[in-house]
Amino acid sequence: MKRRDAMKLTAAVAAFGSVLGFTGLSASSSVQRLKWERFYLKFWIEGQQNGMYSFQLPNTIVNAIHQKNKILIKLYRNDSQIHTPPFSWG
Amino acid sequence: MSLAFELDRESPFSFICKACSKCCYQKAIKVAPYEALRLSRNLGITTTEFFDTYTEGGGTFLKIKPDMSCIFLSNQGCSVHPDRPLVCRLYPLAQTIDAEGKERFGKMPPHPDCRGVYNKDSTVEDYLKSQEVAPYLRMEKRYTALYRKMETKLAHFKNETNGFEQVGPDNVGNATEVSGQALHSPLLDIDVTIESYCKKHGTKPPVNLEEMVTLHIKSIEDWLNKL
Repeated sequence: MKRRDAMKLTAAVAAFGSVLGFTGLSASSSVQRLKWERFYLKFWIEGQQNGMYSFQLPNTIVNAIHQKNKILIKLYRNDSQIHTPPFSWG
Repeated sequence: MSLAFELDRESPFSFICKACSKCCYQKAIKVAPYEALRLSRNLGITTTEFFDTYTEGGGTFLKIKPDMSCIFLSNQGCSVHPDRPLVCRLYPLAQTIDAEGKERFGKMPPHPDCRGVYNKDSTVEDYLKSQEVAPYLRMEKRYTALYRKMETKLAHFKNETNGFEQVGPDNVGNATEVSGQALHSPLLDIDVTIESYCKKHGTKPPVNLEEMVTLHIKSIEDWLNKL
């Protein structure tokens, strides 16, 4: 399989899994339900109006949030953590 | 917020919707390919135009308006009601199908101001019939079978090559650019997929929705078989 096809297939599995309800803790079961809320991480360049990127958090993280866990967010370059990430919370 | 899936089709259940539209706010409404097709034809547009205009999250969710209501909620209620998505039809029920194909239903907690009337003078089966969910569940089953094939193919690839790290719906999440609504996968778009397939095979795209779904699935399966 060519890498391009593998990427296409990976994206298709993620997309179809999401719309068919195969997400969350048990990916072998599908769930059809209205979801009350979505959690995103969104990125802006400081001082600019237009967002650069938005990432919807998967259910594993949402569940951890619901369970009142404190979530650590770390930035990595390859395998190395960047200890002074260029982030600020808005 | 976990939900107990304690009901089956014979379980006593009834819900009379009073059209208060409270359930049309603050929701993430997924759109599977068949739902996108139904909605696009209701609106008289292509699935491509539908995804561009009415979805977010890479084409996986309906957009919501600034007041957090569904993009299709109008002053007269749902503007696409005859072709509303499956989760809207199921509400206030939720459905789960386990790995063995066993179906269960759960009762979702209603919005505090929901005016709908719950009772037990009917059954889940009756409610599903009244909401005309049958074609949606049939299509869900067909697309689930396709999804399983894609999953198997991807797992095979990962085993063969050591694959990529962090792939799959659980840990990919739904990444998308804020500006620009590119689909997570162009294969979600039925019109584009079957148009490309028909062009390649010198055939005319079908107009019947069931036939379109059949060709959509076939075109993806053909692609999978060649990988």
